Amino acid sequence: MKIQINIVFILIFLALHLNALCQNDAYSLLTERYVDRPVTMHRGQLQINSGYEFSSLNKIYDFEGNSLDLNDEGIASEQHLFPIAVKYGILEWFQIGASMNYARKGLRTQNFIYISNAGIISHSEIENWKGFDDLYLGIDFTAPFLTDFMNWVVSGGIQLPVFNHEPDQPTHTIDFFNYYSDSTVIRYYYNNKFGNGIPMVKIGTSLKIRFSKLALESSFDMKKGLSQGESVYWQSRYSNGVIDYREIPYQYDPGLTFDYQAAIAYQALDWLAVMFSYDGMYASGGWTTESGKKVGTGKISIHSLGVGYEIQISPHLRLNQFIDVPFAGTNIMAYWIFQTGISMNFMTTGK
Amino acid sequence: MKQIAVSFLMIFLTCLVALGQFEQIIIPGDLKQQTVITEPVTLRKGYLRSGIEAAFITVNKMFDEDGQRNYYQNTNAWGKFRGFSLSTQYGLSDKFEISLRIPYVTQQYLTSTKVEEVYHNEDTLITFRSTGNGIGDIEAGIRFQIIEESSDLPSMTAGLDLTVPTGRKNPTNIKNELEYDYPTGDGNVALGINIDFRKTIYPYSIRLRSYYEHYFKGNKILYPGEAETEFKDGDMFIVRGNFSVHLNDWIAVWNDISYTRFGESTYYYDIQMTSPANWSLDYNPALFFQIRRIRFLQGIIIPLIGRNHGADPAYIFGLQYTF
Repeated sequence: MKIQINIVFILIFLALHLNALCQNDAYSLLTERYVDRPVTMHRGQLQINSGYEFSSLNKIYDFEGNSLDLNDEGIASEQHLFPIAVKYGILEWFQIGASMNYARKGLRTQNFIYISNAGIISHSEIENWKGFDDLYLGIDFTAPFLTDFMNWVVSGGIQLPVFNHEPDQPTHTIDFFNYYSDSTVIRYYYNNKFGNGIPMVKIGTSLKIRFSKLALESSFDMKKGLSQGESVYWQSRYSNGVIDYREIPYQYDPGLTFDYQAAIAYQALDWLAVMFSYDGMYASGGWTTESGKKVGTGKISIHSLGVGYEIQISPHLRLNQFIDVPFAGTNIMAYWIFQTGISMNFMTTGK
Repeated sequence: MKQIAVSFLMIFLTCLVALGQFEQIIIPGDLKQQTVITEPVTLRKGYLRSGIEAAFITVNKMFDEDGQRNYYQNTNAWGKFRGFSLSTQYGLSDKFEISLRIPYVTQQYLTSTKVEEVYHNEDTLITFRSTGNGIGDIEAGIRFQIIEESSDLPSMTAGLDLTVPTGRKNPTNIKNELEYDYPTGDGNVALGINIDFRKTIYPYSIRLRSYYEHYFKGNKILYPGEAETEFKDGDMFIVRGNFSVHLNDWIAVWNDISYTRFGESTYYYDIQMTSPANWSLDYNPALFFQIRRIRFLQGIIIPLIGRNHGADPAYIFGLQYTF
């Protein structure tokens, strides 16, 4: 009888101890310092990321990489973006994920005043983008060696055009009554979408090397459309106070895009990591028939530097903020970005 | 029996170890390290808090008279506004606080137009870049706890604010009607009264705040090239509801919903003119980080709906220290 009681108590003790160990394990995995954390999720870890990103047009780079004066170009633009991303660690070395962004963007260009015998026409255009972009579905594999010191991850995924990408018909206002008696003020509002309109495949790799207080990170991604895209643009004609719109179809190919990043993270405190990063993008091989002929979009590139931090607020909640400022580029409108993100983490299984 | 006791002891120790793993990382132990949720609504006697606040706004959109969010003047005119404030509060007693705020303003407005004369085959690019930098209007205030917060009652605080027109009230360095140095002050004296209620049920707090500001008549150049004209800005009324919560012992999330209304403004030209009343409903989430005596705050004011009012979000940052 004594032996049975002892066995029961030993079993209870072991069960509780195992449970505590599991909790401890889950707790220690969820509160891992940034520099110790692998690039991908642990087995059974569910991560939900969201936040807010504000971008404001900072510079415009021409084909030769010269920075243009925004005021002379009369261009102003800003974007509000809300990302959502979910990742889940199926195995310690295998992760699945999905992500999508909702955004609003406005772009205004130079006002034009045409003076002719027919009178004065003031013309301005406002481009708007609004809605979701494409749905990204991806998988990540971690190489099973030297995992205590480094993480090498190979990733692959596809961007699916789940929402309509074609622009809606523009709207406009016409004002005949203003301080020039013989003038007409026309304002066009173009209503664009964010989606690429074609499925795009993305493959990449990332590496994280860990030291006691430092982590070195780098990543490289390649993105390419699986087919040519088709969309429309809108032509307008002003005649006798009326504007007619015509929908013109065109084809396009976004070409091949490379994204690359290098970052250094310093674990200042157990709950605070500070990061410095470099981000680059290079795209080429794109074309469009928007002008009636197949015209290459040219080589596009941008380089930016960023600084940010991550705070471990609680075992389940992390907060991060980054500022990213472009410093060079070609053939691109470059935005500085201020991003605030939250990351919610849960262990769905005892490890 | 001994074995049973040992087993119980081991189970107990295991539980204690497991519990120990969930201790908080930082526990502020000093009253000067209390957070925006746990501190009293006015500073304690002899405490001094000083800091810098900054606001960044891209002047881009506004709510028109129909409540539609449209681009500023429906053109490519846009601007950047940055306001920095040096603020100080001091507790004269545990219930009575005085404050001073010295603002510095920088602003820049841009517009660009290309004029094409078709029959002369000429085109001209006209660009305007106006700035306005300098000290703004200084604000001094007092706040008094009428009812101290208890387990049953919320705190009730009343305050008075006086704003004096120390900022430059007139446009200067005028090149043309669109290119000049913007004023950095409003050019009038303002007197505000506020009444606030707060109830804290840790880790939460609920606030209801109201503010009324009366603007006295003033004189200033309303548009470049004109003479100084007497004017009277419409009075301002703000009511705010707030729910805040601690994410952990030293980070608090602040959620403010506010309704702001400015009354009709009057300009005393030879023929009296008015500008319409305007209002907005804003959401202001913010994070307050309390790291010992240092408080870092950052938030965003998001205009949700409104009429004749700016519709651009404002980004707010602050760094304070309690001495």
